Amino acid sequence: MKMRPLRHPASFLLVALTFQLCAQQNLKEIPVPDPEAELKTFRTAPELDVNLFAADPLIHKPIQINFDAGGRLWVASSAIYPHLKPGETANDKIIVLEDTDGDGRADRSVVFADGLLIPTGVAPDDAGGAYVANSTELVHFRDVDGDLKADERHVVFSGFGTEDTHHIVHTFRWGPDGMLYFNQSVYIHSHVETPYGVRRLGGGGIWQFRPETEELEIFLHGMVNGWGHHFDRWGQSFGADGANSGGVIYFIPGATVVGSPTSRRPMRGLNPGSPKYCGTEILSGRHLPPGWEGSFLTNDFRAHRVCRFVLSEDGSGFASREAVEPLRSSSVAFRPVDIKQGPDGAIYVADWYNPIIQHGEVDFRSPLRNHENGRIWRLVAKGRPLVDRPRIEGAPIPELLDHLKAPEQWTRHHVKRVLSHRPKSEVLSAIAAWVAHLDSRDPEFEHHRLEALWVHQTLNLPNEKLLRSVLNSPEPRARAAATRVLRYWLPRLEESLPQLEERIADDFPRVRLEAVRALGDLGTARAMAVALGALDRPVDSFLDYALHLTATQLEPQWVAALESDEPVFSGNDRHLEYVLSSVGSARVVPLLRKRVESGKCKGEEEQNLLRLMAAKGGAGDLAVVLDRARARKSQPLLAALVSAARERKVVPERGTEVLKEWTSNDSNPLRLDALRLAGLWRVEALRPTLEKTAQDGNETLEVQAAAIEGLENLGGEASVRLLSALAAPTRPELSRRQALEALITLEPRIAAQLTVATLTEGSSAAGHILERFLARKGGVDALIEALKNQKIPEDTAKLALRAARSAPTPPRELVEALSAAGGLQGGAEKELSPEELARLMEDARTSGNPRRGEQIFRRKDLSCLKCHAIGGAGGQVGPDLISLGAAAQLDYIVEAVLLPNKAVKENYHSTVAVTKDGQIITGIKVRESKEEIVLRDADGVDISLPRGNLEQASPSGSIMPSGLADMITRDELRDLVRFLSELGRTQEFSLSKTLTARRWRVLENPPPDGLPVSDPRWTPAYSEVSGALPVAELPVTSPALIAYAACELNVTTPGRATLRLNSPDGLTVKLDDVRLEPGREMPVHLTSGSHRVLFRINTSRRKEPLLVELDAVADGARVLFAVGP
Amino acid sequence: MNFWLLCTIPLGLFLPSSPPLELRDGDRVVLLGNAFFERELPTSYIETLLTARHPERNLKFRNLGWSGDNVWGHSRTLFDPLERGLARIEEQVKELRATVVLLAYGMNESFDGPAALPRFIEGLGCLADRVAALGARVAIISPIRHEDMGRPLPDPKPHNDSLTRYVEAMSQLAGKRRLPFVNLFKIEPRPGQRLTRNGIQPTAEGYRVYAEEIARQFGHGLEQSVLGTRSGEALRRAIVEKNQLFFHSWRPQNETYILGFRKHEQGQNAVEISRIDPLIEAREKEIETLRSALTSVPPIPHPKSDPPAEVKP
Repeated sequence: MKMRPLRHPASFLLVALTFQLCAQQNLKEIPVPDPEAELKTFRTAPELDVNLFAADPLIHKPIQINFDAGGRLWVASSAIYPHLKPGETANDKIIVLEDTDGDGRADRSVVFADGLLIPTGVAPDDAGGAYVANSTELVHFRDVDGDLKADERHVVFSGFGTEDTHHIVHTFRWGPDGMLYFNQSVYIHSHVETPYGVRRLGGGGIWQFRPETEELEIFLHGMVNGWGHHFDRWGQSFGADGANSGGVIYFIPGATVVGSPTSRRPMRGLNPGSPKYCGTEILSGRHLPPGWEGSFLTNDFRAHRVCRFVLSEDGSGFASREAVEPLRSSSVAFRPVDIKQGPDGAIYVADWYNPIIQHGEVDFRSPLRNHENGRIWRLVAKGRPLVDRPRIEGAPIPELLDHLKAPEQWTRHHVKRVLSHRPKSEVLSAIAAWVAHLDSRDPEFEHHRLEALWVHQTLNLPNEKLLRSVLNSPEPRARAAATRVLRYWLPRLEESLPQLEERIADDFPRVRLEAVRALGDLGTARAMAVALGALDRPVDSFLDYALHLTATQLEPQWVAALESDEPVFSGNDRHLEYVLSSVGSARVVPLLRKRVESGKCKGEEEQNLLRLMAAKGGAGDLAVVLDRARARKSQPLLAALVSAARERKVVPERGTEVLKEWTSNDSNPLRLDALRLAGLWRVEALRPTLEKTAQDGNETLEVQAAAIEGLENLGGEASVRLLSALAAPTRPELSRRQALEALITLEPRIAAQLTVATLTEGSSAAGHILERFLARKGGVDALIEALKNQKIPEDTAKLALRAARSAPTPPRELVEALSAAGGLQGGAEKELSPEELARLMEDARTSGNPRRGEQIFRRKDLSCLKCHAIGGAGGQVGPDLISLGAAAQLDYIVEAVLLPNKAVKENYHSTVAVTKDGQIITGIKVRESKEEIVLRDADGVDISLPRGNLEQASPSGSIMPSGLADMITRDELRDLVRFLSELGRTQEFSLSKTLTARRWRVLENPPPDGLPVSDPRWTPAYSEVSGALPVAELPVTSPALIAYAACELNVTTPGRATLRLNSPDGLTVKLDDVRLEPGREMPVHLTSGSHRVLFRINTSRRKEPLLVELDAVADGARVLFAVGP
Repeated sequence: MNFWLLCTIPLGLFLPSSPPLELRDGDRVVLLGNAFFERELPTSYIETLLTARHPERNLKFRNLGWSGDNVWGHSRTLFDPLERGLARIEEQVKELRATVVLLAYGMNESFDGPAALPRFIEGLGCLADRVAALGARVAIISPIRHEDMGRPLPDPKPHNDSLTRYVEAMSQLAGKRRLPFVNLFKIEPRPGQRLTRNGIQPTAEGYRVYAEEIARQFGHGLEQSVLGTRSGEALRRAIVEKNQLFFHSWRPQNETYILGFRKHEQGQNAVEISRIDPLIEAREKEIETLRSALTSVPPIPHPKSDPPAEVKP
């Protein structure tokens, strides 16, 4: 067998084969593919029953399901996934299922189309045909004679990327507007030729396609792997991402959702810290249990669950809360991937049925992959009548129109689809009559009119009169929907701007949001001015985001207008400052400068604009910033100048002599940055000051370090000489390390010799120093050279090795050199033999203790939580581990812990960037643009790398350090693996659906008495998976044993809520500055914005962990606990 | 205007200064371009006609069409920056050891209007030079006319105005460099005939018409067409199958995992791509047998009715 090129060919080959072997031998028992056996593993919500609708051989491997107007269920299915074999003829199928006798089971199955290659989406057109995703193609099939078999095949578009077969175009969904929406995911690059020109989309997003005109546009950018999209009753759309943990996502048109490689400001989901979801259906109609109308259904396919979220209004956007799962299974093969409501009101779930998901982690050709089976399950509400299936196909137009009043979205949707194929003139006259006869006292009158408007939009025939009436509807959600219709009709309307001006002043914030987005399409500076009118009313985070999108979209127009001194924002300073600070391009710098120099802005606003100037401006602009920094004695501005010099190499064109004054005055708060700037700006005259400060033992270490950094940047022979002296083994340890690090940048070979001299004596900082060599071009080679024939103590060598192996591509020769110098064997990573691995997995399964494993995971020295969150609480550098146990097999988990580079989750590959000045920076790419790449390093710090200063940036492996096995015992490893394998899989180690405080700030050195007053040092802490914060872990005062812990609440809509404690013992509680009476239930009234809940914990009285939950009350506040690092 | 005349009389659709193209025994012909070539795969009319023109000659064809591509190779860059496109084209042409390259570009660029024309012509010239530098003879194929399909599909007039200028400039470039040039833009449909599905994407019928025009530039008389004959169809089917195999070999799915930056995970499966090569070779043998059997070429029957909208591969 030919293997890929490897760094340690022999050992890796063994490991790779071993893992495959073990995966087969030790995979949890592969269940018998009998639907009855699978049914027994189901547990439904109390309101529901489940039955089998269809299984193989009627269908196999369903990917997407969608109904047609006749109530038949169309199934896109693939036996080929994940990869066509060489020479294999692609023959995947679109299958149509029919339940002819209405007993809730399919009794007929027809192959509508075959010869397909991994069809990932199907949307029946309700004229007998269907649109199908066929890898590179969007295909339309026609059935001419009505026998449910395709007679004609038209490739509508081609050029959709196939870089990853679970990212290719998918999630077909008709909108109420008559357009077909479909998604692609993050690795895909599409180049599509349309009659209007090429449309390109690199990365994820949602396409929007109008069949009769073949217009193809991009509705939304981003998401990592977003398989889910549906419109609610009022035309707002929502979705889910199968590889990001935001939960329900509210789609603002034109937004860039988390996961896009390009966005400066991505939009996040409504349930941060959720597992990842696949498929979306918003429920409606009479069959549902009470309270389920409008629920958002999706699938946690990793943890074998169908999930339900309750959506509610939240200002211009929405809030989302999880409710009890409609369905969960203990079968590893139950993989719910799509979900749709049917004509009878029941809920249909497509079960991909596979113990193996994904195809990055497990071999394409693994025999464990199931290529045969597949199911459709059907969920019904207990004791509630099904909906009579409406007759839509072939019904006369007036009858169809009356179906627009149906409570079921299924019915209303198919009516519009069917009407789109009827003679337009007949539909138009019928709908005019229908609208004229609507009863205005009908409580649903406003919705009926909106449906009529959507019929016009589906036909693509504007009706301005009807539009105007819905725009002025008393129902705010109808007005918001009509505003979106207005947007698409803008090019065909006279007088569009005044219409939008009215909407910007609407009382309902979502109408304003839709209008703000519509204005973006007008492409004029005036449109921007109108959009900014939204600032004159309350602006919540959704609306602010919409404004940002529009400001970015219209930037060329409003910038040009400002440049030519047009009074475009008519002297409204707030509006002007908002747009100037909302966009990130260098083009606004002259405008910022003009604004600053006009003297009209003050205080924080001025500071804000100056910082933007420093971030983007040239030498002249930076001189203005420096001037103001001097006048205002502003440290943040000086820090901005440090960044400009460090990252972009831009130096103020004048005024740098001020450094002399700042560097010499030891009480000046600007002194530290001034010392750094002396080097960055190459102020040779200050060299003596820097040299003196760097050596002065009376200075603090911080000051000395800044001076050393100054010398490093000043460079030259003189710096090397002094730094070499400072790095000599005779100097005090800490300043010596600073000097050594500076020297690594300047002269790696000299630094390497000094380093080895340090290492031979033994050094606890070996790891840290090693990292600096790895981050310097030529550093590794210099170190290898210096290590030749040297001996270093074993422990020091181990520390150095750990750092060397933490690199995404560990330098093999350095590992060998360090091993040789430390007298360590081999130097390769610790690998388990096949027997050891098998035994470890067996032990983890049988005697592993997950609770002990959780404690190991939380250990500070292992730093797991520094990078990995569980349910959003924790570091954001690596993937959230919330459903790891449900998603991954045991051998994969062991592998991921011991050999992090073997399989890396999508979007978590590191990028190694080399700058022109020889720095090597490693991190996860957070975003990129024409101007910069932003990497997040292992400490969670975002580093901006301007492209101008970049020599190279290439994808690499994981940034997770290997060598964890060296730091824990075998028993600990067993428990850790067991803990990870339970995450999201067992009840105990899954997140509860109650809102729970998980991310904490605790006081590092609590003062002996009283609440901390000034500048306390807070550090992050995280709850256990159960939600409890262990009190015993908290730093306490001595001798009183008091700890302080705080959590944060983000309120989007104000109102009442209840804070709940597991017990009030030993607590003092404060909400912001207001003391609360500690109790199991504490009613609070929350205002919009961020709030801190502070707990003073008397740990001598309280041993019990602290569990803080939040109950929303009806019509109460919309609130979330803050998560993150 | 008499459309019938336009189409049936072999007009001088190329400038006299552009030399005719000839394919020689042993030539490796690469079709390089946008969706015009990519979407030709299911019919493979161009290759079939050019093969049948000289059944005794050993010709090998490879279709490198990619939807949305332009003269800078922007569709081919995957995760790389767009600037890598041209280098990617060179790598692809070089790997196939092409001796003849047919360039079909300009449709996508022409949507940017006359302002973008100089840049396009510069890009086309550069591409032709780079390909020629690899030792291949180059011919240029013009974009087709944007067909009027009636509303609500777009009125093609503004686009055709732009295309007119693009095609004219392409023809001048070809003339100046003495490169063969095929003008497909001048072809208009007969009454009742649809050459495209949506104005810009040829139907099977359209591909037949355009392929015949290209073949004509290679000295192929219409009376020699094999399309629709039993032996011709057998040849065409073998060609389509070969092209399909080649498509999966040069544009494999899951490229991220098998060749790209996640190849450490599934790179072991890259070997499957090389297993397609012998299958392609086997088809080439079959094509060779089938073309050799084309001794006497019957005259092409004029289609009385339109063929099905698309031909299934």
